[in-house]
Amino acid sequence: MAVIPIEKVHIVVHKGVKDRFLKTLQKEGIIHIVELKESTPRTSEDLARINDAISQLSSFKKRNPLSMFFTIKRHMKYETFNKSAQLYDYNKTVKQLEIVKDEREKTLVRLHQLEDDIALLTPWIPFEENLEILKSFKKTDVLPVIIPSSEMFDDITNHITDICFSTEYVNTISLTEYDLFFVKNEQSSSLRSRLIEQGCEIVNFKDHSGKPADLISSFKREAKQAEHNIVVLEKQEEMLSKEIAKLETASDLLTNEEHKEYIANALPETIRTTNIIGWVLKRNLKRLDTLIKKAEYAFYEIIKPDPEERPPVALQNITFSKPYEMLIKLYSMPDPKEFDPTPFLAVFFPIMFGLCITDAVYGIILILISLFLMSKVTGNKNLFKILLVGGVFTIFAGAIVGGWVGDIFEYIGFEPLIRFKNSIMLFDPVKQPMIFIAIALGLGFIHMMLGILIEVVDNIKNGEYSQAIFANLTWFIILPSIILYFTIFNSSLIGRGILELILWVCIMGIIVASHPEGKSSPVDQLIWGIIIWLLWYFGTGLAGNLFEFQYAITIPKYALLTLIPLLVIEIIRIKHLKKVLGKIAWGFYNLYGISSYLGVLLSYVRLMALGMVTGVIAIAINKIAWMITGIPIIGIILVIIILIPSHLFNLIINVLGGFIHTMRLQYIEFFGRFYSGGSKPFKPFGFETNYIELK
Amino acid sequence: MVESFGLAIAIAGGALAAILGGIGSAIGIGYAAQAANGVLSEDPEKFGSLLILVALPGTQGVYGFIGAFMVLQKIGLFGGEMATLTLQQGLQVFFAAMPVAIACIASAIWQGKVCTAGVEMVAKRPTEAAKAMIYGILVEFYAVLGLIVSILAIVQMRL
Repeated sequence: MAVIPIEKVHIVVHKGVKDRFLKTLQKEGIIHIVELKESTPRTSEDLARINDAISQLSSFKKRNPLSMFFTIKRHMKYETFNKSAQLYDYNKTVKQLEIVKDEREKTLVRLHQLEDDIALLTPWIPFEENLEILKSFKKTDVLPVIIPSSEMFDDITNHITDICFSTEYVNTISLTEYDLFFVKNEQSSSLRSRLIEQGCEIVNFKDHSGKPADLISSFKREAKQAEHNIVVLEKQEEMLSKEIAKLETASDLLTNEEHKEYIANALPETIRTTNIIGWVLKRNLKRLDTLIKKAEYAFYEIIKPDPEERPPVALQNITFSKPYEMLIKLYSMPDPKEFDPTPFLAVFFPIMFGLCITDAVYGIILILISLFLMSKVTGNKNLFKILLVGGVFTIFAGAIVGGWVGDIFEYIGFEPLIRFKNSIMLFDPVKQPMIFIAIALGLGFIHMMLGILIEVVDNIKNGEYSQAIFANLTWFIILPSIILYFTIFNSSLIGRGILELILWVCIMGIIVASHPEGKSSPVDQLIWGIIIWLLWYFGTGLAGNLFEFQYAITIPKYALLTLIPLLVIEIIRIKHLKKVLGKIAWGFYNLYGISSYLGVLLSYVRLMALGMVTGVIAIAINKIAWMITGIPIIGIILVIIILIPSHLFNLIINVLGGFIHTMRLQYIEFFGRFYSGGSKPFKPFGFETNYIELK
Repeated sequence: MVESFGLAIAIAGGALAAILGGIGSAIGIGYAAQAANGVLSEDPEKFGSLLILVALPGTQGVYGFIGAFMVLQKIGLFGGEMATLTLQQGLQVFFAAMPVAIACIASAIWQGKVCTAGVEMVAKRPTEAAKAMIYGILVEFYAVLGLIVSILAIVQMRL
């Protein structure tokens, strides 16, 4: 329900027991350590090797399909977790894996090399001599040349007239021609460059010795062997993948070990002692006391934080509203002096979320999905709890607008179901969208009024009484009064008269007294209140003639004469006059704030839009699906095949939209009134794991 | 001749809803999917968290399709009697389909851009995927509004 009280403590530990003490602190997870020395946390070689090994084995890991979207951790007891390092020699596995990886990489490189060589030599198979022979001439160089197209051969040979050479045809494969060019040693390099200019490629046979055909068959044999070796190595990896769970445990353990080391090195120290300065929840002070006593060579005191220091914030809520803390954390933690709005989220979030979906069957499916995920996914389940409650409200919202998988009951044609649906349905949103808009706006109005009320309470708490009354409470009265004025009391003269009086008092209050700083004297405020009201009354009275509008309270025109003495008094009090006028300008600006209330209110129409779109899409899906019922026998099956994924898609897309827009209404429209946030969340020094969930 | 012209214009409205929504979604998904493929080449494990971001701009295509469907349904193209529309009525249906058509193409493309940025963020900070999604969905809302206006206009229209 609130921000948990927190204390700053200073613990002094003798260096001899520091390590043991930090270990207990990490296990207990009760202190948020601050004032650490600058130092960068680094990952040790051991940890990096384990993590490499885990990623090497990850393709063999049996994966839960849910793990693509959610983190799924294994449960483990703290004691088992702690002992696992002593019981398991991760080094051996890691080393084996490294050897396998190394071997495989080498084999792969060799395999690619062989494949390249085979591709290089294949076109030269018709050359039935040892390749070494090409290098054995004393005065002649032999250039194996690839000519892109055999038609080019004549062009090229005719083109190069200044160099003496001869050629021998070897092969043609789909236009590309393979030839040997014989040339004198001294002219070899110029022929080379000329050929390259013409777009030919000169092949380098490296140190291959033997006939191309023989070489290729021996390379093929070797490649086959290499492929076999890779399969064997993969098998070895697969065998080792049984160890992955243990490696993951080791990784988590080492990560936390290193985090502890990092903290230990970053704590400020004297020659014999280590200082731990941090924040502890007040209710945990006793536990800290016991820990200190157990540690023997340690001592602590509660210290006063700097006035400008902002403590980290932890929230406390009852089970019902606890999951919604997640939404607060996503936005920003409240200021320690501020009010924790979680309980209000717990009330409004599910209602608005339900309105965004408005389909009873979708609600039921959402509940089932949430329950399923809650049983499968480990760790933080708040999101599913929020969806679960949202699902319940979706059922209600759906029943009201008659949304049961859109209008599927009509297609099924089962009378009792249709009668049941109609008996609890209040209106059809497609035929009467205005009712839906009214519901959305009504809910928005309540939400907005609550926001203003919280603002009033907040200001009173902080001792800003005039702000509470003139800048907030006035609006809290004005907004519903305007609505009552034009609706319920529209025809009652007395009702309107009373409301007019209330409205005028509030409006004048805003104009003359809503300036946030430095009040002018009440006498002048009162006099200016009356002056402005008189001008206002007759000014709006004149405008009212155009719209056939008349105030319930009527005053005679000669009342305007009272302006004269009032203005005279103000001119005499000229010193105070200046002070008041500046503030009045501010007041008018505040009055203009009504447009922002209107904007906020209209923003809630999104509830109606999102709610309707679910129904409309569902109806369209049903219509499309039922078009193919005409096909005999398989028609029904096809209908089901279309219905299920389409409706699931509709559900998912609308849950996403509904959730986020409901969240936006909380963050922007509701929090905008009173919430400043900006605190750091309370994050005690403890275990942080990637794979294991500690019990 | 003139009567069938009304019907043609009405069909053109429905067709445009499907076409523009489809174009928007195709472009939007195109942007996001390219970025996502780049990220996957480094880290295939992120497929799950990127999938939603890539798929988000796809909904506008569906909205456009639904708008088109409602139009075709309204003018009786699916069985029943085909309405004979005057030119005026045809134009009414045409303009009723425009909010969903235009809102969808614009919002899908921009949503694609937002999601692409989201994909890049997830590449660097995988734990923040939810936040990237939130911004994407905020863009989508305006396609929803377009669809609602079109549907209301089509349903409430008397032909």
